[in-house]
Parts: sequence; C-alpha cells; structure tokens
Amino acid sequence: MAFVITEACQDEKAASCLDVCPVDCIKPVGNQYLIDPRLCIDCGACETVCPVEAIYHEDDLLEADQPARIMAINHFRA
Amino acid sequence: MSIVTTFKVSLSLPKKKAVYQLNRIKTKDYLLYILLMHSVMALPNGIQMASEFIAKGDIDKTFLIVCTLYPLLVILTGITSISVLATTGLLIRTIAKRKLVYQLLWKMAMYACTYPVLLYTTINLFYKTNTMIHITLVVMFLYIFTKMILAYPKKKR
Repeated sequence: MAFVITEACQDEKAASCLDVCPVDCIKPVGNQYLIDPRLCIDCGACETVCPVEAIYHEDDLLEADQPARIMAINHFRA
Repeated sequence: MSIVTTFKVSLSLPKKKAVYQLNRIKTKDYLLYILLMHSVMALPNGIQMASEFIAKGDIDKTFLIVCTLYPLLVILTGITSISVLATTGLLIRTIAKRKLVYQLLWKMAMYACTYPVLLYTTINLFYKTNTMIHITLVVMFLYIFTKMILAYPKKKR
C-alpha cells in the first residue's frame, strides 16, 4: 500500500511533500513528483502538506487517477 | 476524520497505526482539536473564576475576563507550550536518527498532549496540582512523544 501523487502535481512541483517525507520516497520524474511505492511507509505526512491536493492514498484514488498509480509502479519497477 | 474520531485515535497513541492515521488529519480539523484540548484544560479554572466573580456580583468582569481574556491567554500559552515541547522533538529525532520536520513534530506534540491534558484536567477538578504532578505529566508526554518518533524508520545513510 502506498500514497500516490496524481496529475495535479504536474508543472506545480511545490515540493512540500519532499521536506516532510521521513523515508525520502518522493522523487522528481519529468514534470511532477512520484512516490516510490516500494519505499512508502503509508505514514500520510505528505497528504496534508500538498498545496494542490495532489496526493491520495491508493485506496482513495478515483478511477481517473489510477494511471498515476500505475505510472509510479512502472517507473520504480524499471 | 471527525473530532471524535481524532480523539479516539489519539487515545491509541503511541501505536504506529495511530501515529500514521493522525498525520492525515486536515488542518481545519487539527485546529479544532487544538481548541478542544485547550477548552478541556481551561474549563475547571474558568468555571471556578466565573463562579467567584458571579458570587461577588461582578458580571462585567466575568464576561471580560472569563469569556474573552482567559480563553485567549490559555490558547496563547498552550500554543507556545506546544511549540516548546515540539522543540524537544528536534533533539529526540536527531538522537534517534529520524527524518522528521518541525511541522510534523508540532502536530505530533499536540496529539501526544492528549493523555497529559486529560489527566491534568481530571486531577485539577478534585485536587490542587503541584510540581510533582506537573513533572509526571511532562514525563508522560515525553514518553508518548518519543515512542511516536520511534514509530518512524531510521534515516537511510
């Protein structure tokens, strides 16, 4: 289980989540940040600090945001 | 998460699951929780002050001091105290090699105060608190706060 950064982050990249993440699992990928699901400890620290509300737990993702989860999985598996 | 749920989860501290659940509280709900804790702490003294003023017939003073100045003073003192307590978290997280920013430590400090505030209020209702009780409550806070910090994994090199 992990948190997911959705497309609301694209071109915003406020990076508030980077500061608060205790395990440094958030990495810049292209024009947004992504959370490495292998490292994420589900602490939720990133969710409330995002100024554009781009971060959700994968259980709370809408269907439209599922590509963001798959993108994170595929990127960090590579 | 409602205030009631937040309170229930705070009572489960310092379990890791509770620590992580509390991170997800929205700022609006978190501020409401701070107000609630301050109200709980200030209530016994506030009621005592109000009854003393009313007994003397000072209704104006009751309104001015008890309903406006005293709550403001409690909130100011409370927030300052949490800030100081959260600063101890900076030392604890450095010793424990955890990466936790002050913002997060501040929130954690507030939730770690739940049990001490409840105990303080309960004791204050029936007895006059003394230095030993205050020290015990601070130790209790530090224990809960430290366990909450240790719930996070160590920093990678």
